[in-house]
Amino acid sequence: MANILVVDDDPDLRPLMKLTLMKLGHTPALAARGEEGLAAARTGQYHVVILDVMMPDMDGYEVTRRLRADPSTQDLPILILTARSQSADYEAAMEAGADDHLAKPFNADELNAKIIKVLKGRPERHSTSPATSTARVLAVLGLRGGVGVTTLAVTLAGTLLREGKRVCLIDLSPAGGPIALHLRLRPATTWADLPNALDKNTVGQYLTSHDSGLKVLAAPPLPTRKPLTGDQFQSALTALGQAFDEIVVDTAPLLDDATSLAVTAAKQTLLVFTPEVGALQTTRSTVRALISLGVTDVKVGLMLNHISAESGLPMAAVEKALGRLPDVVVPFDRAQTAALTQGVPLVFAQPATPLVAAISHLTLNA
Amino acid sequence: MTMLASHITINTDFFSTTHRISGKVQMGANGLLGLLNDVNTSLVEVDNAYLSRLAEPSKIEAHLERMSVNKHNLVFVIVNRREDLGPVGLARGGYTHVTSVPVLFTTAVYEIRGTVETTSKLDAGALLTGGTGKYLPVYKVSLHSTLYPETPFTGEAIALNRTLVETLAALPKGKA
Repeated sequence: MANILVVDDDPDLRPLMKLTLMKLGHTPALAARGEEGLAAARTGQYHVVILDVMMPDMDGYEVTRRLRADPSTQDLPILILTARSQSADYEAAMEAGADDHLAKPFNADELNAKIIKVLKGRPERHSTSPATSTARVLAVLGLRGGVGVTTLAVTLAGTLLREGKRVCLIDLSPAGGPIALHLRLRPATTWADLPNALDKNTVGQYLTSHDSGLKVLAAPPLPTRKPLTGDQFQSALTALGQAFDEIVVDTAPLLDDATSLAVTAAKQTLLVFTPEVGALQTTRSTVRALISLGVTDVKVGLMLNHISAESGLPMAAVEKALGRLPDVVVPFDRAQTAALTQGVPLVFAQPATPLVAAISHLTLNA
Repeated sequence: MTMLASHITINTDFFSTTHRISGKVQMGANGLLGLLNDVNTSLVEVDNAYLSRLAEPSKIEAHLERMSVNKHNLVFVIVNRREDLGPVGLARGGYTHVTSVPVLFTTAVYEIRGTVETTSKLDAGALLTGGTGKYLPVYKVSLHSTLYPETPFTGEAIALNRTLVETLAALPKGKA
């Protein structure tokens, strides 16, 4: 899902574009004129701008040139969408600074393919957008559920803490706060209490401290039907980004607004799976979903997690299913069961165990 | 203005010998060919029109809320979808077995390659002078102005003003 600004003067086409983009899973915003589009783009809320060429006051080429001339929007992916479909029009769009060109009439699949293409073409923009953050955001994701995401997120956060970093761990689970359970925390506040607007001075009151020094933005202790909204999470991420060096997000096992925001803002998303057929299938489709969100391949780390003593599918089968080898293999660690029971994560109690060692040796995107 | 249910609006590119006009045209059930071949009107009204010179066809020189285009002097109109030309029967004169024939047309300033659909051998006389309609459909078109041959134009289909055609030749298959 991407935040997309559509600038088009056609009053019939705008609602159609909005509907099409929403059906494709994106979040559209509309502007009717070039100046209005420029102002909206400068807010920094958008991943992509889709521009019509033929607009009365300022044509799409001029809007493109102005976006490219402005440091705040110069890296914004721009897709020109126009009824003028000649090769000269394509060349003019590229010369003005657009990333691609799509001729009307178009179908939804063509539009989505172009959006994905322009998103992938400018990966650096997405590493910081839409949530502007000075901290490195690392997302740990497993849509299958039960593959050990929380254990690995806690271990990763603990490892970074032990390296002397200021670390915040965020639990996005809507189903009962597993991180509080892992760390034996009793959070007084959770993300359910977050207001829509936060800053670095006020965000601290919503965090829970662990004895290790780890700060946690906890999930509600009971399953909730009221999800963390994209606006709430973006505000929290921006505020936390000014107070911490590292933000580790234990994502929800679904691509809701907050999880989608986390993976698009992340320097790296660690995709966790176990060596069994169902998990591989989910992982493969998750990679595709991440790419459609504009998360490039290089930002997705594959993390094969052995959660039982059984070896599961051989590595060759994993490679064949995913098209590449995992970036890290986490061995089964019997000590983890005891750690969970005692509420003392291995990363703090037994940092030399194989599980912690595997995470410690993980190479993360800077 | 009341819009009849049978009227639709399409985006089109009109080409004269000197200019390109991109804009919206409202047409009835007979499609663009029906509009262009309507003998009761000499003009086509183009809404939200953007004017470019042929020398720089992507550069917008002017935006006009409405332009009246003289059908007699217009050379061709490019559409992105074949069906925008109109119903098949109207475009080629009936439901029959048709053959696509690659052809080359020249006008005063354009060389146009594409295919025409005929029910028999290509008959240049019938194609250029038979019947009443001024415009004929040409499909899978690539063309350029002889003044600016480095700038090609392509289209799924065009409506070509046959009264301005100077030469016509059949091309070998695959050479359109």
